Amino acid sequence: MTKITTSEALKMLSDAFEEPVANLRPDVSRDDVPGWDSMGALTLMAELDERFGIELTADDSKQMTRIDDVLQLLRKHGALAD
Amino acid sequence: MKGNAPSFAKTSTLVARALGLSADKLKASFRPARLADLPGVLELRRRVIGENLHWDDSRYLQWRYDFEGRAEGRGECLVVAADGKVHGMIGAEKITLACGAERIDSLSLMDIMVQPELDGSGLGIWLNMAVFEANPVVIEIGANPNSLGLINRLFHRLPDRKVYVAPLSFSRFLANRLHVPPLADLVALPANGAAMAWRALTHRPKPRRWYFHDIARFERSVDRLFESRWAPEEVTFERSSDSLNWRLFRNPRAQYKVFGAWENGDLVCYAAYQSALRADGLRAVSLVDWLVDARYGLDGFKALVRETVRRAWREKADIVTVTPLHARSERSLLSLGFLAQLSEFNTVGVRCAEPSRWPQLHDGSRWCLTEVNTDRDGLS
Repeated sequence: MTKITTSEALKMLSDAFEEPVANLRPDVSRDDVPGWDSMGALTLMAELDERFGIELTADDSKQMTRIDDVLQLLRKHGALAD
Repeated sequence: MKGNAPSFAKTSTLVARALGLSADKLKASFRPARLADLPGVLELRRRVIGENLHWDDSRYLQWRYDFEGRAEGRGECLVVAADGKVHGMIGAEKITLACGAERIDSLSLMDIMVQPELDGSGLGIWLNMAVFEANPVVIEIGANPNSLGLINRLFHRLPDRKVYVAPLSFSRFLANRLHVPPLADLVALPANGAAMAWRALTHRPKPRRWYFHDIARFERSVDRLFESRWAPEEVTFERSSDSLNWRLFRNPRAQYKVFGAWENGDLVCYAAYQSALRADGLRAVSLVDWLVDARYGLDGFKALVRETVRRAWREKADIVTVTPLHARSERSLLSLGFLAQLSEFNTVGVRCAEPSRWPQLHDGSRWCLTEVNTDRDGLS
């Protein structure tokens, strides 16, 4: 599996949510990221599936409420290098 | 797709997985609803709309959509139905866009709903994409905040439709905003006076030979009015006596009042409005549609608005609202005493397969949309 760094992961989220990477710190909540809506969540699901083979369910996706939750998910699947 | 939205194929894979289907089975399960699907569609809507569903939905759906050609609807209720269950629906109303003498067939999307347990699965987005596959021009008016990304990434976003409000009674209007009734009363007194003075100063009599009349049913005269409409170079939904009678007079979910002005026996303009008590307790008269003969243009529009305000006074309404996408008339609303509610807006997105026959579809300043082009029916 390809591994990425935390900053690369944040860049991936920035692309998925169309939000400047500077605004995406681990403690930032979903409500504070306008692009983390249904379209952003789907884009993230597609990205995780394609790049890491992580099959995220709708429930898993809904339970992620902070940026850190995505980072933890990547870590749990061994996709985070640092 | 714009930006980095996933492809239709990728979205199909993800959504099919969430539904426990193959991507091919998912595509095969997407079809126009049949009458036999109606109970499933109604159940889906009950679950999604919940306690806000206070109309006869079966009657409403059969008015709006064409279930196997047996209902009177002008659109299709498209569903994803598999294993005896309706998982999601999208309404697609057939509309004709007019620009000058040209016409283009399009679909206006509405009523996108998925079973609550499928929220976040991407099915709502997939429904949009599936419609794009077979339809070159698609419009979506009024997305909720959770769908802004969909409008931004799958459509060309036109300027938002702003809500314009003319308070007729400032005390109730302000009480809703200031939440301190004595303060609202204090501010309302001079505000009411200023608004009345402004209306008196800017009042213009209607054109001398016009006479207003209520309309209970549109006749062919409105088809002629559409052909001689103000600003025909703008993009608008085609109106006809058939479509207006269906939309305004046979709608089981909302009642509309319509009046027109005649001159020497010719219909030269009409306006349709709805009078309703809103959830915030304000009685609102909402101007939902209008059409003006090119000979009168902006002056005719202003005369229609003044007449609507006069009728709102008579009905003891607290406010008059208009929610257009039309740069020309929006500018004039400010001079007629309307305030733009910047916190409230309705999105408009248009999607055209390339190459677009009408490049002007992407130019928001060329559009003229009214509330009648939506499925809102004054529901808040």
